[in-house]
Amino acid sequence: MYPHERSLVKRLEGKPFALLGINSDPSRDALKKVLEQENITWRSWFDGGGTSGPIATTWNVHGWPTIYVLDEKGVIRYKNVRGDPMDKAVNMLLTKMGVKIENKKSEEEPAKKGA
Amino acid sequence: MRYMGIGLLTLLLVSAAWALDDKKDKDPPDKKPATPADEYKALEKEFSDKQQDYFKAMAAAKTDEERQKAFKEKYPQVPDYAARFLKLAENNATDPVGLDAASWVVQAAGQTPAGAKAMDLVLAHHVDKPKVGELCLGLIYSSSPQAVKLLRSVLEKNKNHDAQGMAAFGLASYLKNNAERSTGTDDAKAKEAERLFERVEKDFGDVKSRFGKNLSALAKGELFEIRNLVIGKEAPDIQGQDVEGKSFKLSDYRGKVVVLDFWGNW
Repeated sequence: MYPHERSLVKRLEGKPFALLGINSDPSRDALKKVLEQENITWRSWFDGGGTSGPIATTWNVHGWPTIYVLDEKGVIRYKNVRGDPMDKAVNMLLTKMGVKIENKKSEEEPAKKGA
Repeated sequence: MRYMGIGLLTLLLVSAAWALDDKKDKDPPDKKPATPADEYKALEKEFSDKQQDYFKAMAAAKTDEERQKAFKEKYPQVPDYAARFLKLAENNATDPVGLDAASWVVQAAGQTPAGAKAMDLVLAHHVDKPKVGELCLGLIYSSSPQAVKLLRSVLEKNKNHDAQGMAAFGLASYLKNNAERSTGTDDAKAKEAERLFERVEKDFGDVKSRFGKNLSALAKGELFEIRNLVIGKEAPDIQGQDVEGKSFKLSDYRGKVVVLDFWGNW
């Protein structure tokens, strides 16, 4: 998870793209620790310290991770795409906006244990 | 290195087999449990003891090798237990124990041939039992065609209010999950799921579920998702605080492609 997301965020630096998390860790401190340990630079909402926080409840999330990909108008375009399909989905939406995507494959870091 | 690994592995497997044989020989033949219910309890305990043993061994293991060893030696083989529970269910097909045993197989090995046989047993003998409702809630993530047959049959034939509600919710969830699978949305399945969730909310909202919420709350969440969180709809705004306590909104990011990632560690 994290290595792929790190490389996605890095690859699209400066483009009209954002990765936003909704985090269900048990406490703010727990979240803080993971953000530091895993070098997570993207922003997350802290969803109240559990899996039944207000955001996850509204979005009817019962499984983690759950992924939604939205276009620039905020319309849901893809659900639960991970890894390569996530990259392709984001590329497609950016291209539709007229954003040029360099034709280089995202360099994936080797998967870390537990990530 | 590699050969040594294989040698060690073989040794482990052989010693594990010996250990099993040893145990079999020591079990006195007259220790057989008396009633089918006792037999079910004993088998359930044997499995959960084995599982605990395995978890303990895994927690105690410090190296990858030790973890591999713990896995090889202690991991309870679900197919073996499924076969034993299935036999118990077959031998007591019409007894309440038959439903318990078949349910165990469906929950633990639903997508295997044993799971299919267990569902057939439930279909043939238990669709009208109140207790079958619990099993219906366990079929939400199934993709087996027998599961949908079973859910429909319970919904149609069971007279118990709770069991009917759980079957309706189980069937609706099954259809919703399977409508979303493959390449796009199967509209017929999605529509039927929506109608069923509406029926659950209206007729079975009071039924308590093992998920800690009653069916009304669960159905409301599902209906919101079906109606608002689908491809092509504008996502509802999100408002909240980041780790530092700073407020921000999803709509702050209009003009950007956004990946929303629900994540966490617990």
